[in-house]
Amino acid sequence: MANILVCDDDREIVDAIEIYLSQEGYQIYKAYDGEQAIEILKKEDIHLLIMDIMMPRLDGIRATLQIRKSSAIPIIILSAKSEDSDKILGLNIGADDYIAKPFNPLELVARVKSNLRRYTSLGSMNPDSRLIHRVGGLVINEENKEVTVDGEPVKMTPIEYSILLLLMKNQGKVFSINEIYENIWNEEAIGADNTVAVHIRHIREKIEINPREPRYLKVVWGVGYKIDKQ
Amino acid sequence: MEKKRRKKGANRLTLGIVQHVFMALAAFIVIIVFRDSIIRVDNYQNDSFYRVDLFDDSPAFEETEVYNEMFYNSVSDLVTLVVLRNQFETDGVYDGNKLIDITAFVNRREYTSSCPVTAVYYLDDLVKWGKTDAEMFLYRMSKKDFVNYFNDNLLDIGHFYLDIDGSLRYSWEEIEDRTQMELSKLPEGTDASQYEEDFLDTYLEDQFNQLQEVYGNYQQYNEAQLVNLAFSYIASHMDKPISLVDVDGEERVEVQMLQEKYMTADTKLSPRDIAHNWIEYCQLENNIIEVLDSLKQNYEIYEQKIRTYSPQNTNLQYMFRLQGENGEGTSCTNLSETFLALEENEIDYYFQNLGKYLIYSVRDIICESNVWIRDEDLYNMVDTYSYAYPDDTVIWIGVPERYSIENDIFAAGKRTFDRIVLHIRDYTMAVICCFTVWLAIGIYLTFSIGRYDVRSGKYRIHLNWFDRIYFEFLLLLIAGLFLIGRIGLQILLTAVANGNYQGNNWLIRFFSQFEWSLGVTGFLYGFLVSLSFCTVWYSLVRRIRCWNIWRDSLLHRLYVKIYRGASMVLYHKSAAVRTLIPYNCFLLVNLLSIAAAYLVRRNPVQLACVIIGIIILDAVMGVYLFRNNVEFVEIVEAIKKIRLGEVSYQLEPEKLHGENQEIAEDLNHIGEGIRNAVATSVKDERLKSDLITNVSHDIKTPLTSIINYVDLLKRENIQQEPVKTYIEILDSKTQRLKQLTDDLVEASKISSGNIVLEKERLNLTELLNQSIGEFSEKFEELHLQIVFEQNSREAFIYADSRRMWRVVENLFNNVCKYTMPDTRVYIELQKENHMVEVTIKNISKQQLNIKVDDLTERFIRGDESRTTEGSGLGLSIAKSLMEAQGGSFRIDLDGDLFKVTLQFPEMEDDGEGSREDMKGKKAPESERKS
Repeated sequence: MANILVCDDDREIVDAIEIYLSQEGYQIYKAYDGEQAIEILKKEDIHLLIMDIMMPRLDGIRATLQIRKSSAIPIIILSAKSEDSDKILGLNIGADDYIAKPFNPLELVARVKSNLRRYTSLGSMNPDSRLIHRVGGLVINEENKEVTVDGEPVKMTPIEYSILLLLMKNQGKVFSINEIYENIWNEEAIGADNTVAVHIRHIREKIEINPREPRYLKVVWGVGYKIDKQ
Repeated sequence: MEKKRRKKGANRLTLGIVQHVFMALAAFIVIIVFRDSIIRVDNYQNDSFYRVDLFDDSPAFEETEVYNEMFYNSVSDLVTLVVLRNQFETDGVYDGNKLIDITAFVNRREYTSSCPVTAVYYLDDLVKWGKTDAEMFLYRMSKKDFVNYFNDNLLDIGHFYLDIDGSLRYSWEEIEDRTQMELSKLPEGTDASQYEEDFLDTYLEDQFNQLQEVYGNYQQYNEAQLVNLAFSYIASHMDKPISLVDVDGEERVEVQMLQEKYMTADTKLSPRDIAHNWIEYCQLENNIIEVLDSLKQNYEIYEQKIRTYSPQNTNLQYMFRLQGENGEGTSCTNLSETFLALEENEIDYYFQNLGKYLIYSVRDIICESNVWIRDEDLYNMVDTYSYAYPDDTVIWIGVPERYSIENDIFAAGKRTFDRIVLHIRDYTMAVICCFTVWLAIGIYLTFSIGRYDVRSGKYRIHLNWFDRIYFEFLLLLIAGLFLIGRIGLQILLTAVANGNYQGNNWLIRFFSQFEWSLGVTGFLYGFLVSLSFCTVWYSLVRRIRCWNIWRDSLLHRLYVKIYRGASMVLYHKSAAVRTLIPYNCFLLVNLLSIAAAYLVRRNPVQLACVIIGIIILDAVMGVYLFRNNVEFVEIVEAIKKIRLGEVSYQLEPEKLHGENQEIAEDLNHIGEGIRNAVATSVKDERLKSDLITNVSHDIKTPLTSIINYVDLLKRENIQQEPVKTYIEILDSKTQRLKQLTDDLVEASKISSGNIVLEKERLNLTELLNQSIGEFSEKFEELHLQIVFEQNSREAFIYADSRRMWRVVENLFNNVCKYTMPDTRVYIELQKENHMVEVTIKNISKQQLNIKVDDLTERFIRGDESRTTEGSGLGLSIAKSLMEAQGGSFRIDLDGDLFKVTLQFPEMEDDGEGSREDMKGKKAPESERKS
């Protein structure tokens, strides 16, 4: 199994994370500041790093910058800073994911899995088929009408599949509720309706780790929905 | 401190006195030097003086101009003196028994005699007589006595003749004159003497016949008539005024006649005895008077000059040798008798060996001299007395090199020259030194006025009463002192110049009386000049240092009075006083001007002046009012701006005037106050928000552990009943705590304006549909039926989409939490009057016994139990966000009906949208709610 380094100055949090991730079968290494984390990274073969930002001696941002010079392993930042600006900063300097404290342990585990899968197995998959659409860990295969998230297959209704396919085919384009409706049902939309919105929510619940903070299917409030290009 | 100041004051006083003393010394030296440069001369009738040129650079006194002048004047004096000596002396000694022939004396300059008679007096008698002046007495007599005064037979017939008219005439010269006239008519070459006899014969015969006729006539006149004829003749020929007076009915003649004090020398006669008739008498009398006057004057000059040029009183030596054509000569000299016997060349030799000499020969008009003197001047001098100087006169005048006589002008001049002129540089240096010291002390005292206070960086100056008097008075005082100083200087200079002249000016008399007084006065004068100058000057300096020249002036006081008066009226509390008095003054002036214009209507120039005056006055008033109004408008504008939130707006009070300036300053203060208050409150809000953010970060870390471990506990699958419940409670409370911290941070950020809005064009219908979709499951769980009614498929607004979602989310959460299950929730969207309005209506499951306003206040919720999920900040955040985005948020309660209304201005279409976008782009990224 993969080796995960958890770095936080709060020992209880590190211990708790260790409990959760150990249950999933990961080998856990523990560090309590940035310098220790870098030391361990040098010695051990680490596959994923979970790191806090506010730490003594060397903070998470600097540590990330330093690690990124020599290593491409997934880094998940775990911070009490929940502002958008903090998240953008973290992702920009090379972190792969950003989880705000207090976090849902299950979400953390899910994200660790997702990142690890992409890092270890999916990175080498051949994406060249025209019938396979991929955004990050989300893959939709038109041939067998199969949807996988980080390699895990997801069950979908035909309408949900159609909506997702529409959005996947037109990555980056924002579709309004009416446009989606007209495309899927092939009928003219009479008045706005929340049917599409409900379907979208269901799709999100299936493909997203945290539907409130979607990674793939994003809501453009007051305009429509889209899937970003990656 | 006080002691130090006193000491300093005493030092200054001493230094000041020293300064005055130096000035006084300088004045003293100048006065003394000038006094010594004046050499006084006792001269006849007037006091003359020589001024030694103090800055003469001649090597010796004998080379100076003054010496030449002295010598020249002495020569002139001596030429006169020798004449007088000849008049008064015999053999070089005054001779009182010298005989003076009156007629000859009077006519000494001419060679003809005009008076047929003469009188000879002793010189002494004449001099004494002259001293008392010629006295006259009044002689009164009858006409007959007058006519017969000198000769009884004047009424003889022989003195009468007939004129052409045949009337009788009187003359005592007629016969001789007629004879002479006839003789002059004779042809040339006739033997006069022979003819004369013939002529006389015929003439006498003719005369005899005529005489008969005259006699006939003569007989016809009585004596009185004859006397009258004679009187008229004499009176008209007399050289003397006579008058006729009436005494007791009889006519009398009054005539002034000389009172003779002395009789003639030889015959002891009076002029009356000598004269033959009135005409001769008058001439003689006049001559005597003239001689008396002349001798009196001459004697005085003689006395003075002989004294001055006596060997005891002068260094000058002279010798005059007067030789007439006949060889007899006299000599005049102040040298010893032995010189008289010397030959001319021996005398020449003697004089040539003196220091300065002059030898002049009248006949040759040759002057030999080593003194600068012109031949023609000498000639003129001698020529004036040519009657006294025969042609062979020779004049020797000389001054020896060594002055044996101490008190004459030459010795005095030489003393002055040696003592002062040769050392004038030293004296000048002394004066300059004194003055320099005076100036130096003055400069020091000027610059050391006042005490420099290090602490305040200013000069502390003690002002005495003198510095406090009005500046104008000081100017008057300066003018007065200047005047007095000038007068004093004039008196001093006059005194110096006049030396010991015994004039009638008491001051000059005083100065000449006491030799030392002049020096002392000069000293005092210098002292006083310095004292008054310094007093005024230092006071002036102190005033300038304190800058109170203007403050301590009468003009300033006047200005203040007027200014205060005007201010009192213009800024009077009562608007009536403030407005009406100036307005009435203005009206009055205008009326008076119109009246004046009417009065001078006939004079175009004055009329023009008055009209121009009115126009200027009114124009000034107009400009003043205009300016006032402009400023007022400016102030009103500023107030409006501040009211509209532009609190940083500032007026410029310097550009305004009078009351407006004060208002502007006050307004600026108010604006500043508001600005400060706003800034403070913004700062406080931000600090609060930062504090909340930081605290919430610190809370989150332990909260993470709690959540994690509660979750781990849950996984332990504990079946013990109370423990399981406890864990449930822990779980829900930690979740609530999590929610609370998030909401708290957000609420504080919004209210402190610490958020950045990213406004864009968005469709509110779409957003509501999306939101309903998001909440669909939750609503279904609660059996809530959503009724979404819209009167338009599209309702575009300009807002931040994520914030709008947050608003709707909060509201929907609220709906989920507080709506009675199994009821309908109405959501309505309406477009009206360019406004988009959204209403959410639901039925509360609890009684709403709370005020509407409290619902949006933080931490206030509809229920008071505070046990359910939520922070209580939902509505508050929603309201703040709405307002931040330019919308409105309203809650209405109607029984159990809970109604929320959102309002936004509609974004009409794309065209307008883009315009709004542009508008949005300018401000939006930094748009904050403040």
